[in-house]
Amino acid sequence: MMKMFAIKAVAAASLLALAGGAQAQGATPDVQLYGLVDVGVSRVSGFAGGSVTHMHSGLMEGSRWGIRGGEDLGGGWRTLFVFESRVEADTGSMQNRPVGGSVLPAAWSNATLLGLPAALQPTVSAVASGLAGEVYNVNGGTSGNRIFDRQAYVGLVTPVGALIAGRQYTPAFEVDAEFDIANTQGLFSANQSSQFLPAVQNRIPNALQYRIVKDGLTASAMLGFGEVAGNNSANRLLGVMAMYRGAGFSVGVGHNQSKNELNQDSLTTTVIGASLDVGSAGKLSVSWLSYENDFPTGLSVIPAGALRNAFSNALRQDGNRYHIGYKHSMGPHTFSVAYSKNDDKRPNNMDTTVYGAGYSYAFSKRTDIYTQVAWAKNSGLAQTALGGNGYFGGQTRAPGVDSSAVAIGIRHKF
Amino acid sequence: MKKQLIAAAVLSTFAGVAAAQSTVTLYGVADVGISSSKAANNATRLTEMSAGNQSGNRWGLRGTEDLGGGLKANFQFESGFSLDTGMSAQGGRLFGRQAWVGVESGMGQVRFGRQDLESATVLIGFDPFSQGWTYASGTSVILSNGPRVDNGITLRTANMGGFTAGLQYSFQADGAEVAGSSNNATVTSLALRYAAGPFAAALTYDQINNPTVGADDQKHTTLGATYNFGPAQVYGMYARQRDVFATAVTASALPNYNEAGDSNAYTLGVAVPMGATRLLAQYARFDDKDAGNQDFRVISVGATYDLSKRTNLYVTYADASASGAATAAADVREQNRLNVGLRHRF
Repeated sequence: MMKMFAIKAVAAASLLALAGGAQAQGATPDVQLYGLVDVGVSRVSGFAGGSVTHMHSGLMEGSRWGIRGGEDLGGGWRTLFVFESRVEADTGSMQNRPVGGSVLPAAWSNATLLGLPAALQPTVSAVASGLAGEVYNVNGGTSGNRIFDRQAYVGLVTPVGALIAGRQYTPAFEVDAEFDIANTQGLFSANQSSQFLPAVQNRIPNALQYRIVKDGLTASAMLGFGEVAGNNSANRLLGVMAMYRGAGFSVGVGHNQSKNELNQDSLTTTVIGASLDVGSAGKLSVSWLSYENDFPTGLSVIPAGALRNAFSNALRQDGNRYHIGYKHSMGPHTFSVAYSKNDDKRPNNMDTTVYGAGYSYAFSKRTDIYTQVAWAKNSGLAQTALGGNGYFGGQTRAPGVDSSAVAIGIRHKF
Repeated sequence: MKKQLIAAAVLSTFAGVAAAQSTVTLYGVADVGISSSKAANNATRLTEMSAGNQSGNRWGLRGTEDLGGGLKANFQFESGFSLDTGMSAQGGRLFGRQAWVGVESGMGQVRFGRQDLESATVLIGFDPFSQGWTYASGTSVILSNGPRVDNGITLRTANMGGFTAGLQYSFQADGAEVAGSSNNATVTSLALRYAAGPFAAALTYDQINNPTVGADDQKHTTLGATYNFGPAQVYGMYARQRDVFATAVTASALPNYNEAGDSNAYTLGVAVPMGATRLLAQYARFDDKDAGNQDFRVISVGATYDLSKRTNLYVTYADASASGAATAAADVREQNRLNVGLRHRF
């Protein structure tokens, strides 16, 4: 499910933008081997065992390698493709898990809090553990260890828009990332306040996207095939978005709606964002994200009855997330601050507010070093611990326990 | 256009003698489409994003080093995956499509590692659907037409007046060897091919050891012929398949169909080039020689349209049908599948 990563749908966008320009027929086709390595050390507080100091990979942007390219077919037609693989540079694996381990918060793993008899705790724990492993680990679970987990698609750009098919970022996520001052990066991106359950699906398999890029406008519509025989809407995702980049400002809106495997309405997300240039070096960004999920996905593995009903009820989502951030760039120096609040409207009231600040120094266009600090304030039954761009932090030791984090690292692109 | 890995090439140039010509190439295929299929007689229809319909999605590295004196060292690492999900294919192998190193001279070549079944490397030329679009191709009935082997050694002659011959041995077709050679699915594959102008023909033979004690070896003998009349090229194959066991070293056949036992199979196909368009059609028949007599036939039609040398659109439809008496609701011999998609190669 959700893995928070820097938006690299930008890659598609820039390829599409190129395709819109005048290009000679028969131009040299391009194929590029590329990648990014982001490694550092962070310390995160709030866990049962106290604070954890760990080597992280992809705090700012997920470490990766990939192959991308395309071919100019002439007349405004072009192909493009991206195969992008996750690399966890701290271990060499393609998988990751939360710093605090793959555990669910008490609200979703404690029998009493789920409204079940305390005697059922062993059963509840087993189900919670299975759910956590399936949906909480990055590139884990039964369909995990995907070689091109980050992105895998091929597309055909035409004069009237592009059709792109494969594993892709969803429309609402693209807008969410664009108007997050951190672009989903680091300890204090907007997503950190609504890590789990995710408020928006970030990337999905089997997605067919129609996309147009014209002047400042980028818009897309996406169909994510559910691939359930005899039922074309079960497990499906539909999404649309539009963003406009003007002189000194940008605005955007995105919407995803999904069905679960039983063809019930599952996570629905609407996001609206805007950014404004402040002077020549500053940028202010705000976003509002609304989400609702009456029939959580993936729970049909739990035997029908009181147990499934309890999880189904507890994992329902209804909330709003607010984000405001400011970034200031002066030559190689970039400073940023952000505030994000997840306002949970469900009875458990799992509100998390994240405050953060960061600084990075660019040695070159391809290499920078960074440091960040952030604080996640949990109220109600929230237990959010801070993670990075490529991973969740996990859960603090008990409901209402805050988490703070500090990180340093280096990022290199090739 | 292939991308040369400049850094690697430069390094190997420095490392080698000045005259040596060494290259490493990064290449691949991105193929994705939409498919609508019915998997059995009364199965509900599945509409899905499908990947690797015409050609399995892949990325790979291949290279050659000139060793001087007409000798070359070659290698190929080829990784297969599903473009719709990002998952690795071939059972999660990193280089599940090809992983071999070899030496080549003017006489021929030898390869060591995971590679195509030697028969399959020849039979693809007798299948108008080129082993693509799942059971639209001759893989639906011709079991030598597609699979790969692990742990293989291949000897292949150079072209000698139109003749080529290949001989392959695998210590274990799928996975690591176990102690005792009779406990492995060892494979011997022999492929002979002759081509002259518009005509080509092939004879292949495969023998696979059944690790079950006392069981007969699996054997396929396949004949292929093709003739290019210009406006159309016709293709045909005939196979005699005996003592087929489980699913070791066979092509995909008809999905979920149990091809075990004895069978004869034949295909008759045609390809018609019309400018950038290529029309394809094939009739394939599987004649089950076992007591159940589970015969079926597959009729396939398709078209490809080239947007460039490296990019094409495609549409194919294949219909499989059981022969003879009325079939059960779950009979997997009653299948059909429509594919529409795009393939890009680099």
